[in-house]
Amino acid sequence: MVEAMTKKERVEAVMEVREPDRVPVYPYILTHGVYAMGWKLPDMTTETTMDGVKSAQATLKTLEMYDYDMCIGTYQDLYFGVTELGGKIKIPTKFGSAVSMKEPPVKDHNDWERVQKMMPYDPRKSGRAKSVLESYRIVSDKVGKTTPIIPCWWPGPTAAMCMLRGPEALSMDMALDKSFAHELIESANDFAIDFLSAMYENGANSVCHTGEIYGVELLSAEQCHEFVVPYVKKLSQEIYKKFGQKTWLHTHGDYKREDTYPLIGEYVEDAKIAGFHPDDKHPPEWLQKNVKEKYHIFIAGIIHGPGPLLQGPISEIERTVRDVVDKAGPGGGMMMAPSCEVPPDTPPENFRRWVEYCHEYGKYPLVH
Amino acid sequence: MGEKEDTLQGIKQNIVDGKAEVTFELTNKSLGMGNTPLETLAAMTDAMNVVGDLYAAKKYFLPNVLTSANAFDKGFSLVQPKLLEGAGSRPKMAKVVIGVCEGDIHDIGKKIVVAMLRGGGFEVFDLGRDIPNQEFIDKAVQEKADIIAQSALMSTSITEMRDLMDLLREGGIRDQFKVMIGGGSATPEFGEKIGVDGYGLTSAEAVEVAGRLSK
Repeated sequence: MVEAMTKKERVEAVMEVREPDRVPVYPYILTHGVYAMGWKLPDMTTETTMDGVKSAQATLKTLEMYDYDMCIGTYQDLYFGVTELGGKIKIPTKFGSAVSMKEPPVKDHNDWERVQKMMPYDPRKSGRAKSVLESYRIVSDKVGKTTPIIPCWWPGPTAAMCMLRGPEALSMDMALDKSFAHELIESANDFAIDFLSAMYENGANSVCHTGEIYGVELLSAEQCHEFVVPYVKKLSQEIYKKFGQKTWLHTHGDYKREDTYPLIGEYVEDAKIAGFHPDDKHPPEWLQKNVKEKYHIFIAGIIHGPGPLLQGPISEIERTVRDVVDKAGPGGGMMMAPSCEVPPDTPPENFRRWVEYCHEYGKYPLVH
Repeated sequence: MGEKEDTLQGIKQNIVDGKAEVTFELTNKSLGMGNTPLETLAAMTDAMNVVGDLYAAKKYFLPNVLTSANAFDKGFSLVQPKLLEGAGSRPKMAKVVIGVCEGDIHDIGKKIVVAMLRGGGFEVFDLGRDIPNQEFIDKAVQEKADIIAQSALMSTSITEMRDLMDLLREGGIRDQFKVMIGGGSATPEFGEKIGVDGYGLTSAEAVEVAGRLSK
């Protein structure tokens, strides 16, 4: 019988690829908390400022509602820093929508000279990013003793896409002007490391989550090798050096292919990631055998957010949990997570049952 | 091969290679030397079909497809006015109004689909990204479109698709348009649930679905 663990001990066990007392749940909440409070985004954030207290309230509210195991210490979207660097974002008024970028700071090569002078943008000093740090402090004060508080930001290419250049232009830079693409990515990666560091300085206390949008969904393995791996490596090494914390990678695309699977080895052996959190293209038995057992790192067992979590029914959520726990749970080293963020309008009863059932069915030793 | 055919082949190869400026020059040359706009467009669409095949075969990825689409657009900017001049003599092309849902700025996949649809002979009205549902409807009504196509990558945006269907029904114009969806967050099950007419996982599927819906 495994002794009952605190949330911190549970997550620690998973990171060390040991059996916890039960499968921990990481819901990857970005905007859901805001909508759970009955707010809309403009109630909490403008293009230039954000209410850190409200952000913390939203985070704590979902933690209280669902009692999941590890939380990001703030509301998040992808576009912190954009306004400060001269770009434009849009704060939607509609329920369930997310912040978007209307105009990137670097529209062409000439803009980079201007923007580069403002980099590295310091998240501690001003803007919405500063409020993120306030939110971390409040959440940490309230629950930091018992709850793993996760810092979360995007590594180089995704950070550059969101903060500096926009997806289309950066992708074309990768093909047509590689040195320019690297310059942007490196600069955004340095910001990412600094922003994650600031989160640790303000109360984050656990493993680091870095998530990238490109992955092998949008780039070839060769392009990932050139534009993603080195920056994830730098990020994970810096975070470990500064804070002694490991980093897990959330990524997109099919890593089961012959040409893409070796990248996981690069991420583990070269970039030193401690966990792998892919999208829903990866069955639990495949993750168990080809990632956890092969590389001895922890994995995220996946439930598809827009699928069962959003649409239910409860029986399908439970079936998915059983499938994941049965096939990826043996030996520990597995947390439950959505394929990407929990959709903002996920029905509370679905969310609640997902967490409850992971904890019920995912009790160790597994006996199913 | 004669010079005209060489030029068309050059256009095709340079689009596949993503070389926008050369494509522009060769398209200009092609139209100037007597290749018809339709012959020139055919070479361009052939190129995008090759790009689509390479993408489907996982030999081309986003940066490659975008540079090819950019080269196509450069050439198309010269061909389009010529096509419009002779529009009366051409067979009608099915019209597609396409965009990314409000709240979502991820239009990479949509751009690929736009290029493939154009390559497939559709008249495409690309609204861009982060587009409110009413804009889709207004444009579709204005252009007498056959198909409205919506894309969403983010799970936060997928509910816009459901809202579009509600708006079409409430407005009593659901039957005027076929609706198709795609993007990372959309699934066939979700499409069925909200009552769309078609779902495409890949750009190739999107073209196939659009073809089926426009018959």
